[in-house]
Amino acid sequence: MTVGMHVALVVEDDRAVQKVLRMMFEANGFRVVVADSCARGERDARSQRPDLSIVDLGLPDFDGIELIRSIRTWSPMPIIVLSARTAEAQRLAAFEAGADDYVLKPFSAPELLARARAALRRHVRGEEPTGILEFSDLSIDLSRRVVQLRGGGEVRLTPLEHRILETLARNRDRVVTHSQLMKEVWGPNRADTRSLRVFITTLRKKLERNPTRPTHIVTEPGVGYRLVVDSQRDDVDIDMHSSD
Amino acid sequence: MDVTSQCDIAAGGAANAPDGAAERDCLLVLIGSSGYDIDLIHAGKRLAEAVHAVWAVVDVETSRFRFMPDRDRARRLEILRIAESLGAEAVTLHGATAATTIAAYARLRQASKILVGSPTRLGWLAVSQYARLAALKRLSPGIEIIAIAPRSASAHAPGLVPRMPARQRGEHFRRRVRHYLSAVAVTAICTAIAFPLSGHVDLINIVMIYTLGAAVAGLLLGRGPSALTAVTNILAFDYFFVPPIFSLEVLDANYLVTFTAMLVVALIIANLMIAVRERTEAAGAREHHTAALYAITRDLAVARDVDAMVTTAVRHIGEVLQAYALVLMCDEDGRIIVSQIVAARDRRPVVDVNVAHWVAAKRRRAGMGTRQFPAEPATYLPLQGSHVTIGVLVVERADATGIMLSEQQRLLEAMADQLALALERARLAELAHAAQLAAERAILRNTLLASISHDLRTPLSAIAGAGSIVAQNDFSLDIYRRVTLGRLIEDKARDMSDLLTNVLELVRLESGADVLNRDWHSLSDIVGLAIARHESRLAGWEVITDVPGDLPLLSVDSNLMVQMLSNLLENAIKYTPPGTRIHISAQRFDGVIRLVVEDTGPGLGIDAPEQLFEKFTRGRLESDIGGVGLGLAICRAVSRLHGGEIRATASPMGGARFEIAVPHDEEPSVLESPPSVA
Repeated sequence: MTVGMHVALVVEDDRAVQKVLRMMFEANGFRVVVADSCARGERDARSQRPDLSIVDLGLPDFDGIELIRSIRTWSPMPIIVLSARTAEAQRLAAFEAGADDYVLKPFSAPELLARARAALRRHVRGEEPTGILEFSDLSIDLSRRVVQLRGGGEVRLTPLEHRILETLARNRDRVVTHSQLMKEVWGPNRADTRSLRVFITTLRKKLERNPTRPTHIVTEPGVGYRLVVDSQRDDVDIDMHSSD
Repeated sequence: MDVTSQCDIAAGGAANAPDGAAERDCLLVLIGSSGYDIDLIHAGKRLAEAVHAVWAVVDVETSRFRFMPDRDRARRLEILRIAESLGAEAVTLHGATAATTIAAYARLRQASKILVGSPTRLGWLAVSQYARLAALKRLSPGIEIIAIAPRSASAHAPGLVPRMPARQRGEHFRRRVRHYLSAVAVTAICTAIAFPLSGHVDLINIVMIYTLGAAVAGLLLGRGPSALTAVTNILAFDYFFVPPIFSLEVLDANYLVTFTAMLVVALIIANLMIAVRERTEAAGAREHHTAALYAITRDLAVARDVDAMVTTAVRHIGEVLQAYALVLMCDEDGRIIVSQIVAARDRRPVVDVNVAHWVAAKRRRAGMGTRQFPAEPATYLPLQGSHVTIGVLVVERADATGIMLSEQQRLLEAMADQLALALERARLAELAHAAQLAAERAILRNTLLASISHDLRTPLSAIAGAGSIVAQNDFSLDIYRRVTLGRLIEDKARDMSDLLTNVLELVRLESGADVLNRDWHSLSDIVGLAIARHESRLAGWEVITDVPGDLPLLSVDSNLMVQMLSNLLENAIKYTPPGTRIHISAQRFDGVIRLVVEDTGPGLGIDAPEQLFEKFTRGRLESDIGGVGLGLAICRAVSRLHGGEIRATASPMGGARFEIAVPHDEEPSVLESPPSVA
């Protein structure tokens, strides 16, 4: 074990998936701890101090959501849900329990690794004060409420747009649920998804090169939105196909 | 003979009910010919039981029936009801005379016996009764005519029918008095016209004037008053015109012949006129009856569901009979479901649920104007289906004292029958629909199993084969081959997963449950999500989106909408070569958002694009392209669930074009209007 090597806890009861995940993470410089139930997952999470957890929801003893809730009471480590459950309500429940990301089975290894990498990066970075957000094609100065386009030109943000963007930026690369977003922007008891959709649309018009295929403010269907920030600091480099 | 049986349908049903009814003797009881019809019915029942015959109680409505007091008519109706309750068929016939009508009916039914009342009246009326009996005997050779005498003098059925209210009786009396006064007035007018002509014209023309008056009286006043006119005419003629004038004396005996002729002619004309009027009135009443029935039948035919049918019937009954009505529906076992009450109009009849239960169970009428629960303010009629009671119709006259006349009773019953038929039809249609659905589901299941087993095995064999090659140590695979096999395994597994998603989705969509999870979504977001699903695979295709940012939000199930678009993109990837342009655009028309996905590929390759939306239908059969033909079926299910429609056509761009129309509501208001770009 190399010092600085990341430890990934895989909570999954299917042997084949366990094997695939172990192979995938080990090939990319992780140390892997496998647990096949919520109880063992909880125990390993405490004893092995993983940097990251991959949690299946359908576990033999409890629902994986219980495990996420339990871990969240004492650890902010990134948790990625890996599940075959597609229903929006279940995805939402996972995010509300404290999951960082949700990857659907059948999964693609590169995608899962990319998500894991992003989650780790975010975790290492922590909640930085959000001054200026740098994107490949633009930068957003939240304190001045100005969007500076790389091609030249400026776009101003309205107070509400600014507040939405600010909330997303504080949780950059993480999903912010609709209700969380609405509570932060409009305050409690003023939940109105229609207004939210309209403002997201206008924000995209200002930020995205193609608002129909957004790359900055990404929709997590049925759950919320995620602000995707390109990072120059890739502390975990992953490339499946070149590892041979 | 004009046979409009009171209960044509009911009578038919009753005749079919007992086994071997056709071979059994038939016995007819003619009522209305005597004052002791109840005795007659009881005698008929005993006789029928003794000879094991089916028996029918027949009421012949001759033209005279129209001029009967309402009370007598109600009594005859009541007697028919009693007969029914004793197990007889109740039949009402229309005809010129009782004898010919019942004789014809007896031949029709092949009756062996006819029971009639024995002539009891004294005086010249008895003559008519004997004449009727004789005519009946002459008209019905081979049929036994049995005349029954009353059991006791007081054999009338007292108190069965409420007496006519005093107010109505008084009105009736006043009307008759007015008619008789008019009869005298006719003579006076004739005299007033004829007197100035006296001396200028022959007496024979004076006679003509009086005859004309008699004809007018016959036309307008009825039998009694016109007879009075005939008599007063003769007296006036004698007094004013026959010498000696101003005296009733007649010197020339020839005038007695004139008087007699005048009287006879006047009576004949009056009778003829009355007959004509009766015919006209009867025709009018029948026409009214037919028109009312036609109207309700027509409206029931277009009513789509039970509620609409009942509402229609209640409205018609209300209009035609000036009554309030409601319907209590029964369950499949013929028991009343109290919660299922359908009523219309501002007022409902007062319903006693117990009476309704009784009617539903016994399948007999009850309430006002019947023997059961006569104190109820409303009449209860069972709506009879072929097996069980479908419901109970409750009707209350708007005028609480109003007795329902026999025509109205018949009309009401006919309307109830129509409603029952319509409801039965609706029920059968429902059952047939359910059966059809079940059959379709079975077919779907079988096709599904066949298709899935084929379409899951094919990619599985590819996966197994590729996996076994990779696993084999002896095979020296270069990196290119290994990657190819790995990609193949991943792609095939993904195909299977997509197939499974589609199958599950379709099953869920077709379960008919409330599956839509609507919320407000922007179309550009939905399009973006659909594209994102195929991001990596779409790399080789040129995807162009043209979704205006100012489109209104749609209240849709975003998951399903994304699935629908994703299926269309999937098809584009599968059926067009890489490099093809895929164009996704949206436009707003009034009330509809039109979403178009088109490409520059080879097109649909099918003559009837509508078929593509059927389950398990594919554009190119037996092609090497995987899939079972569920994608577009899901697209159609999704667009229909949203109240929209999907169409496939040839694109002006050269390839396939799918157009989805989704209705949208008014633009939702937003907490703070979106600011414009500075």
